[in-house]
Amino acid sequence: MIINKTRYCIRSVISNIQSNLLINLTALTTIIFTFVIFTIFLLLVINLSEFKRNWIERVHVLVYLEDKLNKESINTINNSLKEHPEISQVTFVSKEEALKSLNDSLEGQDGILEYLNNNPLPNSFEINIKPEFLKIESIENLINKIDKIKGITDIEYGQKWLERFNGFFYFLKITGMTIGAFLLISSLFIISNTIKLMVYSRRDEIEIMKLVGSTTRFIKIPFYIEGILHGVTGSAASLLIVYIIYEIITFNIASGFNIYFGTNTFLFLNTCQFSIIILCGLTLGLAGTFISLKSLKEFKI
Amino acid sequence: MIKLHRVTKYYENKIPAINDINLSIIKGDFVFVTGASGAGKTTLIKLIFSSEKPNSGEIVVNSENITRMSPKEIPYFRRKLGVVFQDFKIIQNRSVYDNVAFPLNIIGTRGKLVKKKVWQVLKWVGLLQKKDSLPLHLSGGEQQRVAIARAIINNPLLLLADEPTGNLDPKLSYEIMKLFKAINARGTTVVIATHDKNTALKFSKNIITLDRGKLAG
Repeated sequence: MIINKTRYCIRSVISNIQSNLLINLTALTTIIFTFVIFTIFLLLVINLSEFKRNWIERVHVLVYLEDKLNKESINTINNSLKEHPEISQVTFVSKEEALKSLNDSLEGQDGILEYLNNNPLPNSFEINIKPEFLKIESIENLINKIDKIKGITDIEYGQKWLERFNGFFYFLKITGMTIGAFLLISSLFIISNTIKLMVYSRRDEIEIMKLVGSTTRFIKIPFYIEGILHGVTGSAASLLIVYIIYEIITFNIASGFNIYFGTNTFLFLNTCQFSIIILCGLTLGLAGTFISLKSLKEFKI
Repeated sequence: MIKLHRVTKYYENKIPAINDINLSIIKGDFVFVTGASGAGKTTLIKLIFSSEKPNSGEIVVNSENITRMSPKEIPYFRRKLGVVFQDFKIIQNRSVYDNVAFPLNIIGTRGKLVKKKVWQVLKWVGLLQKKDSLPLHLSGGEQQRVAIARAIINNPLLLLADEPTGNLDPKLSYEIMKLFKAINARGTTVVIATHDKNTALKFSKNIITLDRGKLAG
């Protein structure tokens, strides 16, 4: 009995789609567009998070010292730094070494430093952090503690850059969420209206179904299948499109990433994220159908 | 088979379409409901197959009080009835076979059984050769026979018809009435609403006349 009913429902869905092909294609295109935008934003967020994680993993903290410190004071600071469990290695960089390093980095522009009478660079320590403490909170906690050591003038680990990055990241997330929400609502509206049009086009059949004793639930099932089909096919097709875009980008431009991001691995969605997108499509289809069928008087017995 | 006790039904204009009616139709009857336009014939038919709920009174069909039936129970109740309309109410983009098989398909009847029953009933109404035709290619009388075949495919206890010959010429009307009579002869209670009292008189002595929602005779 269930097999026969299922067969009937499937036939009904196919005939529905065939006889309203244009409306169905329009709805599907909108859903694909929505999910392409949504997935692109998601990919950006995932990759920027990954980039941030990579950057933090390679972070070095530079501790600048006061100029007048003698060797003994520098040793004391060195020992104090080594006492912190977060720190794996402390390397002293004298002001002379710092100037030499600067000079080396300005290869070909030697003239810049030749007018300097004194070495303006301070003595410093370069600190490496243990992998388990390579989190932004742990680093900031460590900085707060180190900052209290006498003789230290400044601590640098790229926080200004990170703040700017975080600001951009937050902006991207908010923009993505706003556009995503707007597009999702539009898709919901379009699915709901497409289903309504399907119902209107089958109004006579629905009336006859009621006359011959069909339950409301059974009448509604093909519409739900259609809504789910829209959502799932739309989201799956969008993933395919985004994957093609991803392949083109990684194939042609990925080598450039290494320069800017220190990595040439541009991530795609993992299985879980992939499934979530499909699930979102399914939910969208179900919700759109539910909204449209709820308000229609055609289903009142 | 059908009992109406003090049934009243009015629509938004508050003028009763059915006004405090009591009536009883026994099992196996062949009954006509006649009256002028607006007398309440269609409303009466709709009340019996629970398409409309009365504002007051009780309706019992086949020992079931349909006025107290929940919306979920109504489809199951309707599966025991057959209903035929003036405008046939058949699906235009489906074949004769599919239209007649429709009530069986929606309840999940096995394919083989559907085929057997549809063939039997189409043969009985004389449309077996047209089983693959679309309704558009059939005459009015043939379309009504498709509707009748669909209404009786489940061997209903009760067959209701609302102006079934309203769109047909006298000759075709006569044939359709003969078909109803044959269905009645198989044991099905038949109730036909028609404005044509003369045709009704030719086929049955059991006539209920309505006048502005009240029983007139």
